[in-house]
Amino acid sequence: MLNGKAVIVTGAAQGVGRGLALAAGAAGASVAITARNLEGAEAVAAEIRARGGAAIACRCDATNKAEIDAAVAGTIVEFGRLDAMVHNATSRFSPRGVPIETVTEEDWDDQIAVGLRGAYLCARAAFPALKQSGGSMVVLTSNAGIEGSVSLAVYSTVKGAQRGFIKSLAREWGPDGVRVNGLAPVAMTPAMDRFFELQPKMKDFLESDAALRRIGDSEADIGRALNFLIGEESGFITGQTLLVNGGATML
Amino acid sequence: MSGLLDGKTALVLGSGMGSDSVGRAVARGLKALGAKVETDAAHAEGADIVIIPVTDPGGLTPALLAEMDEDEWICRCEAPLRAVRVAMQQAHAVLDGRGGSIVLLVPTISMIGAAGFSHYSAVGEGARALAKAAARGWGAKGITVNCLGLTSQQLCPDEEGQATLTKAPRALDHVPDLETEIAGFIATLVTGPGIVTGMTIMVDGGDLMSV
Repeated sequence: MLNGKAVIVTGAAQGVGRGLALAAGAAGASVAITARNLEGAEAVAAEIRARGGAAIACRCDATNKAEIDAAVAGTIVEFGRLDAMVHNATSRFSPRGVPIETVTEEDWDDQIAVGLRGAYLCARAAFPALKQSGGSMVVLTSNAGIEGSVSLAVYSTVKGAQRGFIKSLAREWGPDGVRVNGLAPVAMTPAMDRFFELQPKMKDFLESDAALRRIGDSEADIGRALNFLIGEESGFITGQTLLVNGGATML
Repeated sequence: MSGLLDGKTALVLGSGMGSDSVGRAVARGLKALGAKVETDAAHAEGADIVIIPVTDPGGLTPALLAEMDEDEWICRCEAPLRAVRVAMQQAHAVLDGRGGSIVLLVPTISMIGAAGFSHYSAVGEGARALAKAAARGWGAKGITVNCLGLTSQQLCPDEEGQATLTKAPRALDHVPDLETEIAGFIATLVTGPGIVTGMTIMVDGGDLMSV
């Protein structure tokens, strides 16, 4: 399905990003896994290679222009092209529940830097190669950016901002044949496991909130939806946010 | 002369950067309806209404992403979004314990997207998501938070042209005027029963209807 394509996934050493990278690799894409944690990125790359796929790992902070530029350049050197830039990385502050009236500057700055400036830096670095390949960009956003979340107020802001960014960029890059979309998942991750340990009732709540009565799997559910968004099958879809949540929020 | 906003105090905040002509026009309109208008959060004790314009410090000059350096991105995206967040915190400090209405003036181009405005679309949609989060958090305190969707011409009067965003003809025969019509609508909204919150209402003359 993605044979011959090269994909970068930021923040892919764990969680949803890892699932996205594994699914893209399983579908035939060559995958560059970027993360600040190089060891974690190497492990995911090794997992893809062990399944017969092609993958490299890059140490890359998504807030650092030089490191993102280097990750894009390294991917092109290794795979000869770039077909999809997937910005998944999110701040370590993202899951901490803080209402907007008490958010700290450190929390705000880090979430904006990783989620929003990271999206800009990834887009800017990838554009020439995406234009050449007729590729696409996908930003991992969230239902929190659509519905608003009291405790995850900064996260809501960043995720909403990403959706605005996606729409304008889709219009800007459309004439060049480059698509830009958002993907809003609900999936099990190690972070979610820790969250459920602290708040066991939330698991039941999230499961019952979804029409399909379960929480998604990062690779099988979310990753395959990403494969659709970066593949030929979605060639006429741009500027959209695809909600992959088992039928929780419905637009 | 008695007005709809007699006895009310409105805090009209700038977005912290760029043109404040939107805020000034709305402030004049609210004043004409009887409100006392403050522009400094430090002197807004007792305010009932807070207006937060979400403007582009770049005055709506298009900036292609491929040509926008990191400094410009920070100045035209991250800084105004931060200014909205600070304004929301100031609004909360003023209204906490007594209730009231927060109204954000947001661009409709951020909802439908426009080439050259990836930075400003991010600000507008970030502000709307933040407004929803705040609406959910502050509703029990009697604070409502809503957004009014404005056209580029309303937000930046120097902007040329009156083209509609959508390809469909505008429903009304004109784009509402900030000082008279939009300020009047705000007055109606904030003196109503306070049962609408977290919403975006387009006041663009019936152009964008898909959001």
